[in-house]
Formats: sequence, C-alpha cells, structure tokens
Amino acid sequence: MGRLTRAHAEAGYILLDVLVALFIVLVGLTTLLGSMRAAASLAVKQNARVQSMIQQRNADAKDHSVVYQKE
Amino acid sequence: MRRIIRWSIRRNERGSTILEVLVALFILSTLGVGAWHALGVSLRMATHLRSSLTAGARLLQLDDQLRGIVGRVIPPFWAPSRIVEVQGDTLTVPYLDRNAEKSISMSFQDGVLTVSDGEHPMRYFEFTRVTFAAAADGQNQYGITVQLEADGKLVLITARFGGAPAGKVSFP
Repeated sequence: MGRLTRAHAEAGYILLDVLVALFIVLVGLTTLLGSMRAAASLAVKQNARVQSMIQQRNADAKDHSVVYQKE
Repeated sequence: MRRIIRWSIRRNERGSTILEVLVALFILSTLGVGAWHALGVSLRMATHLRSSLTAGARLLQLDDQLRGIVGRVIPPFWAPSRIVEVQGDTLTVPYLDRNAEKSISMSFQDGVLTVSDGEHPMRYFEFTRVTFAAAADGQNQYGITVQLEADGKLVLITARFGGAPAGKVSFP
C-alpha cells in the first residue's frame, strides 16, 4: 500500500481513484453476472438431461421388443 | 501581475478538485445504484436456479422411486388383464411383491402426491396437478402412467410392472 501523500489530494487524483474503483466494481459485477449466466446454462442443461432421461425410460417401458412374462 | 496569476492557478486547482469530487460522487452514486440492482438480479437468479435444480433432482428421485415401486408389481398369470384401479385422484395396483393382498397406492390430495407400498409412504409437494392412468397395450395393462404438472411444465412418467424378461422378440 502506498503512503497517502499530498499529491493524492491534488487535482486529477480523485477522479482517477474513482475511475479505478469503477473499473474494479465493473470487473466484479461482470464476473458475478458471468458466473450466474454459466450457472443458469448449467441448470438448463441439467433439466434437459432429466427430461431426456425420463423420456428414455418411458420409451424403454413402452418398448414392445422386450416381453415381460407374467409369473 | 505574477501574484494574480498564481492566485488564479490556485483557484483553478481548488475549483477543479471540487468539480472532480462532484463528478466522482455522481459516478459513485450511479455505480452504487447499478451494483445494487445487479446484486438483486443475481440473488433472484440464484434463488430461481436453486429451486430449478432442486425440482429437477426431486423429479428424478420421484421417477426412480415410482419405477422401483411399480417394478415390484408382479401379476401372476391368472391375474385379470386389467388390474389397475383409478378412482379420481387415487390409483391402486395389487400384486405388490407377487402378493395379491399387498398393493401400491398413489393419491393426489391438497397438492400432495403420496406414493405408498403400504409400509413407507413418500410425499411430494411440488406438483399442481397429477393424473393417473393405466399404461395399456390393447387390453393388456403393462404398467401405469402418471402425468405431473409443475410450474406449467408437464412431465409424463410411464412405469412398467416387474417380471422376468423373456428376452428380445424380433419382429419381421
């Protein structure tokens, strides 16, 4: 961490500090929203996988090529 | 004259610093509002994602348990071809574990789906509408069909009775 010097209070530095803060916050928000988007994509894929698994099991249950004999 | 120029520069520096502070305050307030909004959206999305993933997992769990319990129904050869009884929101199938006196029962009442083998009832609360029917191939019932509705989505589960598979039959 640099020492707070008189130069920091001079013209131009406050705006620079705010711009640096703006950049950091924007990077953080972009990362957060990107993570959420990735998680949403993962959830959609997971739900589609569940649906396809159930449909495949339904098809197996209806499959006429496999005969279940009564006992 | 030199003194006036020096005073003017100092005055300009002070003025620009105040202007900078005002601009910085505006940027920070805009940033704060944006960040607050983005965090709210993220939290809502996280809640929605969590409920969506939980619903998928619960649906798969229900599918497993439904197929497992229906697979335990093994009708004997003398059993009638129609053994599934559907009365309103209730379904009953006998011959659980090859026993004519044991049966599986499913019901949907007050938003609760109950699946029971007579010993261990399982309850599911996610669904808004559940419809039971027999899965039949012509006159021969080979399982049950459960239609579930949750969040406007329809899911159909067809589960087959158990029994010894006789193997593949090749059709011409």
